[in-house]
Amino acid sequence: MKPFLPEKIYIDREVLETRIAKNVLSFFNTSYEIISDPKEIGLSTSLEQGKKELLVTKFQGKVFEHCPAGKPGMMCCNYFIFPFAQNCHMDCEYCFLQYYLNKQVMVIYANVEDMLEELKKILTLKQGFCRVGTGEYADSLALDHITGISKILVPFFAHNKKAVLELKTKTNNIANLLDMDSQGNTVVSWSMSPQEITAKYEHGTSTLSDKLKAAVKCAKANYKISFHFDPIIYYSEWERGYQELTESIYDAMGAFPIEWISLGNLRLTHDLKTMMKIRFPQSELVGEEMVRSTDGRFRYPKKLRIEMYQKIWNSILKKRESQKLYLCMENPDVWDKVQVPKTSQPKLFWGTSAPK
Amino acid sequence: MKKNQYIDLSLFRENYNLLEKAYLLHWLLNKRGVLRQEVIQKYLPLLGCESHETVLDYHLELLNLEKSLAYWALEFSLPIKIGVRLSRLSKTNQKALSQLPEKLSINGNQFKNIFENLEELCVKEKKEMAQLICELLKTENFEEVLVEKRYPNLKAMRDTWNAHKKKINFPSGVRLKDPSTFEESSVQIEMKIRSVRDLKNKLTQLSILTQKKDLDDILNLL
Repeated sequence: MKPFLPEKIYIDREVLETRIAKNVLSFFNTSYEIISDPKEIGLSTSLEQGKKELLVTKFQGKVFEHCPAGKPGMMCCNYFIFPFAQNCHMDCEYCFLQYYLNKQVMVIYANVEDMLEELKKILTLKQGFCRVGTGEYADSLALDHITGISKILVPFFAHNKKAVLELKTKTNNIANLLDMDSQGNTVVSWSMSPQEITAKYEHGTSTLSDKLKAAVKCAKANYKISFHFDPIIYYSEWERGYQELTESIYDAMGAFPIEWISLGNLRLTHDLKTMMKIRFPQSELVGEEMVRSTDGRFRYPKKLRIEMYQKIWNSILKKRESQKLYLCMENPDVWDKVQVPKTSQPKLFWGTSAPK
Repeated sequence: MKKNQYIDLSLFRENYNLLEKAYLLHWLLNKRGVLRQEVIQKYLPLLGCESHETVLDYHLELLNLEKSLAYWALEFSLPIKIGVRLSRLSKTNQKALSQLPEKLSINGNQFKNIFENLEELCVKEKKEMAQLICELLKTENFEEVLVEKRYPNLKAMRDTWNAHKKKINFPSGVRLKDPSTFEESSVQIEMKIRSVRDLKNKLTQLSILTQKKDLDDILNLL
């Protein structure tokens, strides 16, 4: 993973004494600016500059929200978000954060303990079991060596069994995890692509080999492991690429269980395509044939998506027949046509319709 | 307030077009020597623009537009994000693009769609935009051929759909609506009826159609 070396650090006066703020300051051991109005920070900063600035502040919104990616008409994987941070210093060409965020700087919320207290109340009132992830608006682990947030999150979920924590990452930044007992209630998951795709489009992320080594270390430390083939990217060699990816995962993981693998094809909104054309004008991703789906997003033609899902799904089941899999952000028609056997779908979030 | 600053401020209004704003911002930075941060915080809002680094950079990039293309960008009131992409094209590509509005007699929306399809096709086919334009101008219908080249799978699906559709004899007044992108999981059948008897007749004919392979073939394309 590309190192994060901020040119500017802003600390909100209100969080100066928190554990997270102290972790950040002791890690960088450099000058920083104490601010009283965090709302003003990053509003006029460009995306490129924003990736080099860090704001440590207080979170004041909803600590538990349904993943915004779900749209009516799409099957949903029932992913709930705990927004511990915002933005990412890595630079995947297809990343929706490029157009989604108002504030372009890297943001870390330092009042995590308060947020978790609130989450605890919500989970107590909520019926059933759910999956809570931190990887929607930020990479769950990219800055963990700086913030140490996992040292707070993992023990919390180890003692709160109403939900499982999913830490989703494109890095091998797992050192903090290895000496904790997650009580089997944290899933560490990796977004996976064939190495040629990572090298071409996922700038600054860890290599496939480093991610696999990290996954094995986490499995040995008794974490549950999962993988997301998301976004699946079409290219001339996709069949071989994803076949090899599958093989390298099972070769590395050996007998360790894999909780689930999700498959989701590349999807772009019009705004994201516009931003990609400005920031990555030669990106081959925008040159591929994509059509507008029922939720307004652009995807590869349905026939191609179904073929890709079927082939990748089968190559996974060939390696491990009992593997649990699901499709991410696809409509029921595609689920039907891929002929997803219900026995291979994880019970936790199978077949939920996206909320309206 | 200093005299110069007073004049500068009095020059700034919201109703300038994109290029006028770009020239004013360039002048402030390079002739007046106003600091970049001051331009962003103070002058951009006076021009009705968001106070943002990127907004300033986008405006300054517009100064690379060839005059002929700048004319059309203003004439069609194109969004700044399109303007930026146009300004990054080589001079040859800009000149090739600027001839299209007159040659094809198109409006702003058509120009925008053509440009977006062309820029995506350039990446896909690894060709210069001027070369693609030259090839497409030799065809009978520039826009149609461009879309077909940009969406070859969609075109193939539509051709197959139409071929199957021709084989099916729908009763008169009954029409199968074409899917737009084949993302749909169902299609609509439109039926015009005059009486109950007419409806019964059409339903009988449709029922016969359901036993034929052609209808199955066409619906399998969804």
